[in-house]
Amino acid sequence: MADFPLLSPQSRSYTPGSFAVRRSKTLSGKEVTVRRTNAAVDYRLRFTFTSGSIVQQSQIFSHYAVHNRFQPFDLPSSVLQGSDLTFPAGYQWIYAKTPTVVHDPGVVRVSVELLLVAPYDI
Amino acid sequence: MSTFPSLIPNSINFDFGTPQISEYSAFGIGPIRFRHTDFINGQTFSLKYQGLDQASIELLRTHYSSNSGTAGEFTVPAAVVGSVNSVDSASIYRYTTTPTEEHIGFKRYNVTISIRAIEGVLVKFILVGESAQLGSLAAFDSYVFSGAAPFILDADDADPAVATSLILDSGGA
Repeated sequence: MADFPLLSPQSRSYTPGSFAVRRSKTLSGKEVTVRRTNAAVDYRLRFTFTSGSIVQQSQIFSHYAVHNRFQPFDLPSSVLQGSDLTFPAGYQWIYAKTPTVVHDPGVVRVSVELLLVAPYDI
Repeated sequence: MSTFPSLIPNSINFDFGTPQISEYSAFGIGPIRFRHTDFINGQTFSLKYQGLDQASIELLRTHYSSNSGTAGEFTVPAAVVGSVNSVDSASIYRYTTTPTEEHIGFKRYNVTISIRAIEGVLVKFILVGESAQLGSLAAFDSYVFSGAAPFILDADDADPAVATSLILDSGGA
């Protein structure tokens, strides 16, 4: 397992985890909600890495090729810099989907979406 | 029950919710509608925040987390939802979806919060007698009646200033 490449994103968005709930609606319009777990799931981070060369693209591809949605990994502080985000202890990240790359003249943009998962052994 | 942070959004959009009405129809009779409560529920609000600082985003993160995400209920200060009259300060909300932060710079954030009133507003009529007012009071003295009936109480000085009298005839006493 290797950490995500030591890169600084040009843009970032974050969706915190959510709890599994069951909702039932009654005739009176009241809505009953039952929370079914104490653990929030589905934390997501999206990054866009922009550069003038394919070096970052290659680093991300190399990392993705090894880890993808199977092998969890940690994030370096550089990709979360300034956000003060915290996550449940022991949880790690996997790729939510395959990264996408846009090549414009002289500009390479790589978009990455990561999903936080509970610890598991492989 | 928690209270949503008192952060005024840059913009809001919302709908008016739906009354709790069901409709029954069968062959030969027209639709019959039942109103189950006088509440109008389900108002959805989209609160857009732009350029939040670190302290403000922490308020939103902490509230979402301590509220058990989309499971828990909370109230929202009236100012946050623009003081619209389709809800009131006692309305109860849940998060519709998990909010997504956009990190736009160093410790600067855009975020859109979607919430829905699960108990919106109770539709009721309040009768206000705006122009009615109590007339002014006139001073009076008290006397012990003695002598022969009828006794005449003359209320000339009372407001409205219409000559009025009350005759007490205790003939049968």
